[in-house]
Amino acid sequence: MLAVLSTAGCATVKPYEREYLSRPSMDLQREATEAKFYSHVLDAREGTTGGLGNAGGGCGCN
Amino acid sequence: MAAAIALLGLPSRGSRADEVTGTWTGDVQLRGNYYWDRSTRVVAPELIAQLEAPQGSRLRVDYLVDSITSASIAAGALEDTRFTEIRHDVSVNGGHEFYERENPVDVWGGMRFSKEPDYFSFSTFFQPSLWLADRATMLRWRVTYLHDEIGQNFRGGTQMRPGEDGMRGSDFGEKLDAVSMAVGWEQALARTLNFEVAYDFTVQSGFLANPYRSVLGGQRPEEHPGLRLRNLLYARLAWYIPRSRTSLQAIYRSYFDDWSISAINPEVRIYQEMSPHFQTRLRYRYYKQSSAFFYKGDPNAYTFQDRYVTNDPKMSAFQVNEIGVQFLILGSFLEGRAHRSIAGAQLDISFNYRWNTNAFGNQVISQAGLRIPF
Repeated sequence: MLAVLSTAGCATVKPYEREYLSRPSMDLQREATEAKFYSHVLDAREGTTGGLGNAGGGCGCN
Repeated sequence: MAAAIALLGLPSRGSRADEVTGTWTGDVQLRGNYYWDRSTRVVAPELIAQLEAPQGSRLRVDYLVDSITSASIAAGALEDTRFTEIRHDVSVNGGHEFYERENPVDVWGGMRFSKEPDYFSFSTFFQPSLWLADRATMLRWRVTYLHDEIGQNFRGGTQMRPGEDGMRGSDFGEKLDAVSMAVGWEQALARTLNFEVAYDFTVQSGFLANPYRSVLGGQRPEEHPGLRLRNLLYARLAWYIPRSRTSLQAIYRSYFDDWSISAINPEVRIYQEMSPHFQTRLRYRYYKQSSAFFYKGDPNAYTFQDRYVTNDPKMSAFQVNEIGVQFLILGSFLEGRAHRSIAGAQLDISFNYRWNTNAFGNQVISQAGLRIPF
């Protein structure tokens, strides 16, 4: 990823060049609603998530 | 990964209101969430409403109800009783976009309340974002404050806490506070390449154990350090292949904290547009973490002199291999034949299976969501 960043630099992609970037599958925020419950489950089952305002949840989630 | 998305990925723009006609727009979402492992089942219906004003202000309200059924001994609790709890989770968020020196600035913030019989949680956050270079670059900052109040409800048995001289579960009350700060950068690198990186630092202070878990055959409650400093680095690269209408995404998440837990978490996703109205998503996620410095494989290997003791499987070293599939159906194939809201609707269905090597065992996470714009 760093290699890609270094080669691409911060070259500006003009608005009229973003047809493909605007596809639903490229929208980095589109799945935020789905991620909320998924994240809550991971808070309860993995030791490295959490601390992000997702505490609570019964089932031994702390 | 999902935590990082939740952290930095709250929708900064919902459906667009019409600034010319002054029309308000929005959508309603109904979601069904399901979780399963050998000791716990969670069924969580969710209702979300979003509204956007023509002047750039947005409001989002989210209500979720968890119905949690758990065999408590498998969760490390003190009595072998199957029980069901209900948790109510409400969040209210609002935002506004304006221009500062010709650059769009978005401010987004909100509050969340979660209540169940033995746990209350409140959190609030503030998140400003700045777009540069005609929205090719986005810089985001976020601060979150969390306050939890933890109680204890025994389901049968003596109602007494172990090893604490007759303290009843109903007398138990602890607090947990946390502050989290995060920075994020999203960059359009090329016509088909998008990149995102984020860093999150969290300080948690207070009761960080679980009141239902114990060691030494139930004679001593779980006791964790009262402070935890957590670091999370998250990166995502998304590449669109026009010829096949495929999006490939590589995600990497790295974590470490002062409890000696560190983790790596790579993930790959393939989004395939099967038709203008139907999309699939395949994903594979790998997760590996080390154990906390006070973790012992046998909860009866502790002594009463040990400062910290735990019976929490997520404090152990373990791995998860996870695969998932999602189907997304767009109502656009009904354009001209159905009401505008129906033609603009989206239905998503996902299923994820997790092969988990610790005591929680394998897990299923499944969701279905319907989004209807208005």
